[in-house]
Amino acid sequence: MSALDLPPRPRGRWKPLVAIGVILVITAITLSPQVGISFSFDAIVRNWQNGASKILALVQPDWSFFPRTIPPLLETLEMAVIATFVASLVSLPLSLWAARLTNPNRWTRGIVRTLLNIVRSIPDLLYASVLVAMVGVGALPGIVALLLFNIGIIVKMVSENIEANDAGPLEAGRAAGGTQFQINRVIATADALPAFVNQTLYVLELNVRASTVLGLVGAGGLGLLIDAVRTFYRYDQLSLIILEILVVVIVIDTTSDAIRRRLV
Amino acid sequence: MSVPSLFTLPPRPSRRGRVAVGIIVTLIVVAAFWSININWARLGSLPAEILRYLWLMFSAPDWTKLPEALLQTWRSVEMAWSERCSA
Repeated sequence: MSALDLPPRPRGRWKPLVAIGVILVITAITLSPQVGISFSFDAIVRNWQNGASKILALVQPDWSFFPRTIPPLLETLEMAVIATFVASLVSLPLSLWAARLTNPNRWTRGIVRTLLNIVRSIPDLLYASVLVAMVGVGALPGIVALLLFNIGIIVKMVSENIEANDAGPLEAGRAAGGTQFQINRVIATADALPAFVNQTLYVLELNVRASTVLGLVGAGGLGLLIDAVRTFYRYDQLSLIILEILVVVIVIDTTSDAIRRRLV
Repeated sequence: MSVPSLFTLPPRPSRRGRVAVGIIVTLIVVAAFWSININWARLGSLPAEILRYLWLMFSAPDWTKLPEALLQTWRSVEMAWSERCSA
């Protein structure tokens, strides 16, 4: 081989093509009427007029309905704030317990991770519906459902971030004679704080959206009102509620972005 | 004003921003706890209720529902896959 020859092409160029082929086959199977979810464009085409009339109603919000949406909207925000606050208090120590670098004990780490996997595998709406049966209708079951949902997310994300951090400072702390508790408190917590703040702010935004849905099963907030206006086919009022949620989510996103820049 | 020597430490960075954010967040949380209409006493009955419902759910599972549950789980996975691919 002379110096001017091109190097040989890298092997395995067929792999992405095979991956795309496998994805297409699985997608075709999942969409097929025999074994899949029976996805049909026909149904969309047949019912387009029905959909168009609802979309038309949605783009004409009923502004006179606004005063009635304020108390449930405030309740939704209160539920989101309380659930985020309590979840953040519980999640930081749990995150340290769930990460290998901050908890070398395999057994306690495994127990915490298994419990959190169980907590995370149950959807928030299911939590809310069971909790409504336990403690009755209102904001309380909604808050507890959001709390469980949040702990699962924050601990997963923050513990993974701790695992990805440089182990050097923790080892230095150990070499200096620090106990695991001291190392976690002084070094690991400071390292994990940016990820923790990020996740907590993200969870607050998630909670606002989730708590609007939890009301559908009686767990307080805007969901109860959404269910009521949907039952009476008042799509003009529904669109007003959607607009309000949109504004609230944008405000929270902008504010949390500013807080993130200041704190992280 | 004295000129700082080479050996004086630089001033600590200002923590005013963090303190302000902390105060605002605390006020929001306190206001949320204060104004929400909840009977917190109901929380006391929650542990006993959780145990009761866990017993109801897991003491004698209805295994006859298993085939239908597996089928619907498969459908959920298919819906998630199709949605993921179209996204």
